[in-house]
Amino acid sequence: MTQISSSNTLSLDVAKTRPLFPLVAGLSLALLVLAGLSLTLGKVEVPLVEAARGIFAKDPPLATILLVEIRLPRLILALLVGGTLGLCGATLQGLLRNPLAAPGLIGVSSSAALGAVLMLYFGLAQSFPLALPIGGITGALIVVLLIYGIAGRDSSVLTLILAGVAISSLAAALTSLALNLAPSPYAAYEIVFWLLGSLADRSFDHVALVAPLMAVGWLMLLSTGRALDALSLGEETAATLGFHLQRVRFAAIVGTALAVGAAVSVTGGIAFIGLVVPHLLRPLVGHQPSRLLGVSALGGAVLLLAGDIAVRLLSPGLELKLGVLTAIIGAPFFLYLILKTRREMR
Amino acid sequence: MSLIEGRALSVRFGDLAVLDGVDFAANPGELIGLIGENGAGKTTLLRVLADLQAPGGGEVRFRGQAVGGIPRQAYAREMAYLPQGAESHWPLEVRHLVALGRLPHRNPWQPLAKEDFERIATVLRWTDTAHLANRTVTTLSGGERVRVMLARALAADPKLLLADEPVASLDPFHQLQIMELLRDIARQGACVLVVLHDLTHAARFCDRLLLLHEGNVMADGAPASVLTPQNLEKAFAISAQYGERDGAMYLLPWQRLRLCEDESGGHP
Repeated sequence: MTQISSSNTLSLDVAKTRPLFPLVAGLSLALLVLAGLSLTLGKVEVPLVEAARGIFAKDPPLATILLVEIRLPRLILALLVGGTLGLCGATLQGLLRNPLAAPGLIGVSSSAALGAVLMLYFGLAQSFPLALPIGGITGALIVVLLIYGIAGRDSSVLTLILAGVAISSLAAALTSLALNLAPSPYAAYEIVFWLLGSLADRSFDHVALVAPLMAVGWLMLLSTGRALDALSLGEETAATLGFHLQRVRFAAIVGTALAVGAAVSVTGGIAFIGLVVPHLLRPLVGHQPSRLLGVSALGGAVLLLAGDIAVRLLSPGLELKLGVLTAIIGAPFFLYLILKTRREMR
Repeated sequence: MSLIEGRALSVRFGDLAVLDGVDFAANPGELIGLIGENGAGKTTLLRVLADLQAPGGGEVRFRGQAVGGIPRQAYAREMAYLPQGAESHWPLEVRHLVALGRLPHRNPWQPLAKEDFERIATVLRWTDTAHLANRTVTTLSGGERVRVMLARALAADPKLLLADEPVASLDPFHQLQIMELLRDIARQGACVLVVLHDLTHAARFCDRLLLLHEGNVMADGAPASVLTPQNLEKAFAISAQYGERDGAMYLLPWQRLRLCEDESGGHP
């Protein structure tokens, strides 16, 4: 009878939380070091101090132009795209309660790629340089509308995934069709090369185009944190904890479409970042989905930046494509993770 | 006015009427056992009361207000639902999992406060899981996990607790302990509706029993008036051995009164 008399002794350490600070500090430090490297490394040596001093000069030296016009946008895009992929991966894995979920799952990546490929195919990309990202973003947005049209507003997560798979396949098929019908081998080559994914030769125009879309997407994704925590207990329990699952799904999927659509449309396909980063960081935040969001964004930025530096170091001549590198390293690594988790589960 | 009230609730899955005009009302301070054969509609009734499923007919009122009209978070502060076989999809630490029960009381960006931690510590102690607080939930046994999930449901300090078979997988010690806990929580003013299969628990601990049969309320009242030999025969097709200890009734299901289909005289 007396078991629910409440004595006020906080006898146990329920209040102790594993501090996020060391993890965030470590990732931030890595980010700073890599950012410095990214600005310095390249075919031409850029002395950072001298180049920075030249920013306010009337007649900026070559080093400054190189830094501001080429290296800096590349760095910023790497951070934005890497952060987007990490954040989207963490959100979708939380939403679907599945560590294998990735931004590509709901068909956004492949349709953004298709949008950009069509711009290349019809030759619009030559006439104005922002045609590619605009095509990609349009493709991603159309897909969101399609997914909602097909799956309906009351659909289950499974329906959303299946709709995503169907749309991905269709987008891939149409991309193949564009390759098939390409007017010249050169045009086909151009499409394939773009699809491989790269951060080279991007400008501040690209940054300005995608940053606002990404920002909106990020806010939508970050707003789902608490609901993702509740979803650890399943959809029904999350609903009885006061969350509107339709709204949560809307925020996660539309947020992903905006952010990843924008990312893919400037970089092409960059695989595995969104899959691997949340997977790696999850144990370090006690598997709590809401705490994973921010650190995954940070981790994604670090990894993509490291990859971009690696491609520049590995192949200074004909540049290795970033998307190729992430896939070559990411896929076996992911397989290793699966085998490791399987052993732990047993 | 009742705390929660269901009027003429009906739910159909295709041609099958799972609930067929169920009337039900419950007051604060009551521990109500929900009993009935498999498929009688017990879980469906809980889900309808938890506003997880809209009834095809009838309506649920909480404090006189239709539940559909109550904002989700407001209802979540008053009502907790413990589903059968609740699982965690991630290997969370027990204390973090129990802390999820505090979500309805927190604003979107508000961190856990002192009263949250106190409540978490309290419900861990109530469910005898304080020693598991730092364990990963996936490493717990089935019975330990059920108690942790009950702690999660109690963490919100609900005025209405809907628990689907919370004691079925517990050891005898914890079956008694959790039944006593549920009774004590009701004594403190909450309304507890719990699905049970152990008729002795139902008889001994509950203030009231609701016996469902084929989607209808067959009996609703004090345990002794519900657990009659006639009702047991009609609802469960069993006969039971009745007894009494310390003034409380117990009963032991003893004999089946019908054969299963395809069962021609005994098991193979």
